[in-house]
Amino acid sequence: MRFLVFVMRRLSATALTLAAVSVLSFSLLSLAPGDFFDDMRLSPQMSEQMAARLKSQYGLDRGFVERYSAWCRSAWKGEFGVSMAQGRPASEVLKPKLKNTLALGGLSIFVAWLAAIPFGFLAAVRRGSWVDRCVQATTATALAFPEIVFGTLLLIVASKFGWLRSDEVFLEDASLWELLKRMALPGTVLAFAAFPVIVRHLRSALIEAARSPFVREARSAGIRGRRLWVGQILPAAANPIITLLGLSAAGLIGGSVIAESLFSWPGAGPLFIEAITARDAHIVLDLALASAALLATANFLSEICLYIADPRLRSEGGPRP
Amino acid sequence: MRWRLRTGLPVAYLVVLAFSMVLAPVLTMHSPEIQYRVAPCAAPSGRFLLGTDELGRDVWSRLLYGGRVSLGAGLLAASLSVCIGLLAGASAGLSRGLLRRLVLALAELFLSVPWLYLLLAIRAFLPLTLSPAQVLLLLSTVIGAAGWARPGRLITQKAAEVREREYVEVAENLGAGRWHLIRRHLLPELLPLALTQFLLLLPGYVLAEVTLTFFGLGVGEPAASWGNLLAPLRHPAVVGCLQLASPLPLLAALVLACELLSGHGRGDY
Amino acid sequence: MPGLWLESIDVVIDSGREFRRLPAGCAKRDGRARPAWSPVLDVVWGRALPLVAGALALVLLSYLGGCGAHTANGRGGRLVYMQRGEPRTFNPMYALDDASHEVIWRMHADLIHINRETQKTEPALAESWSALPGGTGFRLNLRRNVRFSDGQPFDADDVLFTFQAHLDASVNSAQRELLLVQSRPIQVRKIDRYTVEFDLGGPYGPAERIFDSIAILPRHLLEHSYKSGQLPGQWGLATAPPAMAGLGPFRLKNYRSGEGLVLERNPYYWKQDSKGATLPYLNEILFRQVGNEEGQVLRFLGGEGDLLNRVSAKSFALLENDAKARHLDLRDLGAGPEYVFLFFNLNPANSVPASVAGKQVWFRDARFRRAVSLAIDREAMVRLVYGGRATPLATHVTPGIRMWTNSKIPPPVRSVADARKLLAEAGFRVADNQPLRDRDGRAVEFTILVSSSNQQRAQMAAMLQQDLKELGINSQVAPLERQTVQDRVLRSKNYEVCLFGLAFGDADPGSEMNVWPSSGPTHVWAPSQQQPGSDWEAEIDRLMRQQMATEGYGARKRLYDQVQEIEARETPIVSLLSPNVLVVARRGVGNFRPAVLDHYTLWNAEELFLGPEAGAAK
Repeated sequence: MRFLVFVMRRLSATALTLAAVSVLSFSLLSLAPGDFFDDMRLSPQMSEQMAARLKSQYGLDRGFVERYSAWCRSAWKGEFGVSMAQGRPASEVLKPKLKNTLALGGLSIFVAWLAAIPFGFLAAVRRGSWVDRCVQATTATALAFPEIVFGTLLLIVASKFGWLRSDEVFLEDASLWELLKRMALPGTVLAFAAFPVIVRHLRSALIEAARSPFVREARSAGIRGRRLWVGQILPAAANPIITLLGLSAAGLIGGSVIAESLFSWPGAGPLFIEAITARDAHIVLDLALASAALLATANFLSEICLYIADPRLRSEGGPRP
Repeated sequence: MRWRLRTGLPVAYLVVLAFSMVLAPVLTMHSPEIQYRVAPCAAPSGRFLLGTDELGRDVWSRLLYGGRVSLGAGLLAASLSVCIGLLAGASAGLSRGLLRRLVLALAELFLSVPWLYLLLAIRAFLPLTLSPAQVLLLLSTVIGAAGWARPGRLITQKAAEVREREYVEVAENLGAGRWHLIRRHLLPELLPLALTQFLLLLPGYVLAEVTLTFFGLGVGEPAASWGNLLAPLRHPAVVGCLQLASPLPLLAALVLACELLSGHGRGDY
Repeated sequence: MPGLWLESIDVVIDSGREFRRLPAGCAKRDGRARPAWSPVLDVVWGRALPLVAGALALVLLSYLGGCGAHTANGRGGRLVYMQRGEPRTFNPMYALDDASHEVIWRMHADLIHINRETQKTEPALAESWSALPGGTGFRLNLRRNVRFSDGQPFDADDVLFTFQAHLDASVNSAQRELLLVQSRPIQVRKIDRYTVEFDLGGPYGPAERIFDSIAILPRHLLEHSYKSGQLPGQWGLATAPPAMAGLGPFRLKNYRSGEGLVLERNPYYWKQDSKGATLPYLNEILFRQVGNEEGQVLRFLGGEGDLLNRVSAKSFALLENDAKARHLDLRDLGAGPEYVFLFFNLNPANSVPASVAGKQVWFRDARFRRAVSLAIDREAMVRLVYGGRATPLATHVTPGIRMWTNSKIPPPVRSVADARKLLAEAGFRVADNQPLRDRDGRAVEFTILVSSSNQQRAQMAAMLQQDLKELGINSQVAPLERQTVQDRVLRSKNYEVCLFGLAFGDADPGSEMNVWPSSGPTHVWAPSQQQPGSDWEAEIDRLMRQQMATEGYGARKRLYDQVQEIEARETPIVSLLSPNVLVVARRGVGNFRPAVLDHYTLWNAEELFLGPEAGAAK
């Protein structure tokens, strides 16, 4: 019962947040001058009258409240507005792109975590030793590289070795193998960006957990080595680790812009930038909302995991926000 | 000995960086804006310490003057984020119910909204008479203010934790005012965390300026900034003008230094 | 511990110290001698390492794996073309962006086509035409036995339908404006099954050029939608290929959102080569969306793609290094249709902010404008910003628009001394190392607006700043986002000076009718005026209107020459340079004849073929 109450409370909080995000984003959109059809004005084919006609066709000449409620109605229908660039419902444009981004992001996060776990453990267990310092140096170096610079270097290297040539087939018709090949390069950039953060946090979380009184008791009871680390310390560190997992997942949509632009992965990142510069309002709004929804979902799921995993939390009515 | 190196070296680096930016006019022979059009992309020489860029401007002075802009922006944004986060976190941590939930909900909101758009809007509305450096500082203010959420959340957690400690409860029961609680009990615990956050955020914000410039939203030409200096690196033909990459080792060192110092603050050594 | 977050700072952990205190190689407490680092190894060996190794192996293998082979079977084969953006629609009536045009114009044909190489008209779907008596229009004789790409026959009914749809205001066609002559829509009449008459209502300068780029649409597929008002929604990106048909050399085979599309040969294409063989030679064209120019160039170097449509000077230089080794055909076609220029805010004083109005006193003096033009070092801009691959301009008509350049206007020269003399004449106080002051003693300063997304323009603005300093003018450069710049120039008029770029839509003054007449929406220095702001603007209005209503190249050229002479004298815009059109193809691409008019490389897609060398570089 308490669990149900907790879930309902979190769900309603999430819904409120998403609504607030949509209003805020829509207001920001209306602030920047110019809209989609103003860009077209420079083309000799477009006249003032035509721009005006197109604007009223898409409802751009109405007030803020009217436009926002029109979008809400469209969202209720499942279309989430219309892309002015393509004249299609926004959901049609976004579905394949979001699928691609989530696939790429998901794989990269998975690989990053896989690579980070041994490093994080090593550094935490051998805290203070040369191994630890090596790991810290590696992560610091990786952090120091701006993602753009790393991505560009990788692109240049890839072109020199001809790794970019697997692009004869479209993604939808590609086999799993082809798909993995395509994802390898942008995935490396993303994993490279995520890896040092995960190692650092994992290390901190494990060290912190190892300090806790009940671990000390377990150690004095004679539990050592692997049993200690995996059996006692890891669960104690579950809270921050699961939260970090949630945060990793949440950054998927916005964080992939650079990697996707550089390696022409047909995802939501380049679409976002293009929609912003072209002022394709509903696409920008939908992507912002999708990102916020992902963050909220990740938070929600991680809190549920924590609730289940950590019995101490249940007595307190749930993880303190 | 090792301890001294670990703190001493980063601090020394930061101090050197700060001094060279402040003393830029003294340390440079040429203005960062004058174009020596007969010598574009010149190699380093006695006359031009790091050579010239594509328009013939002295890279060494653009590096120093640009550092002023980029580091200044990063410092401003990081300080703002941490200050607002500290304020919000301390007050939210103190309260038990509504205020804390409100602050945390606001933090989540701030983390989700696309701030890129706000930047575009602000950029568009600014009067034309502002210099590019002033524009960047204004933008950094916005970025910093919008970025309070990350340190804010952590500080709230910590403040909430401290609040639960026995001696704080005792002090409260004895009638200590809110302000007293904050000053005597919370701040000593929160300040180290805030400092660590500042050190972690600083390189991030400096890098943000570089990234913004790549998308055409940062400090534009002809002003000097590290982002502007690095911008031509996007194009693979840049190998003829590698001195443009000179901010990179400085940036890397900055990240390393901040890492080392914040790790010290975390008590990792 | 509830609510424990990651970055909490704390006291030194003691467990690590405990490990180190014990002698190495021995953990005493539980009585077994085990190496002190065993727990770590256990975790690593037991759990994580196999997974990590597996993942790494996957990644490595993907790098070493084979690449897709390029099918190049001599005549036939597939051309791979990298696009810089995504098409937005397949409907020729609503396409406004380059990426859509690139694809659409391989699938459709027009009645009379402008040959991009000669810049003159040639027969297309109309095999011949004659002027109507009275010179008010044309009678076109259509080709017979032509079929659409779905096999249906083509005749005058399709032509009638196409023009009817375009001219119908409720359809909102993007090309409707092009079919208005003196603001009156043209009249279309069917004479018989293969003859159509077009009444333009009066003499029309560009004459039959009006028909270029009006795609003839299939009545049998679209008439129904037109009658029910559904035309705008037709032929969007999600359309299945059989629902579309055109008269061009290719037709759509399949489309993958966000990635690319494939066009296949149209088996019913009407054009034949000189030996009577049907065109096109190619089997397919693959359009792949790559996003930005640097990515395109790197992929091209890596072996992908057969052509690069337009590259920057930097990329060209990079490709030049490898040209021989990689069998590349690089062409510098000289000045293109684009002209980059500086202009001053000459809007009426009551429509601009007060601070700008105060400066307009300087801007309105033609001697001031000419002085600025004289002080600018165009040659340095060409050399440093474009690596020499641009052409300095004296007026907006670039050498690429061959037939309309005015040879009497001398190329631009730089002379700061002459500029200073002009300024002194105009009443300004010029002194060395002193700011320039006007009659009232005010220092001359202004802000130059420029689009931040164009690196080269930003660099040009920086160079302008230094040139103006030599005249004593302190200028500020304000880089703003492209949309914002356009908004300020065309709508709010809140700017002082602006660095801008426009391009000729066609090699004919008719395409400049939005820019030069003072009522034009892109008459950038004072858009959409009710009345011309000055005598010379009124004169330009008269000349432009007259050349549109005059037939015959000679007469029109004389009128347009006069426009350019006024431009050179009054300098409403300070033309700076025109970037050269730079294209690249692999050696094996046959019949590669790029031109300076859009589409630079694919305008003759039906004649391109892949020779044996095309496969060599892959």
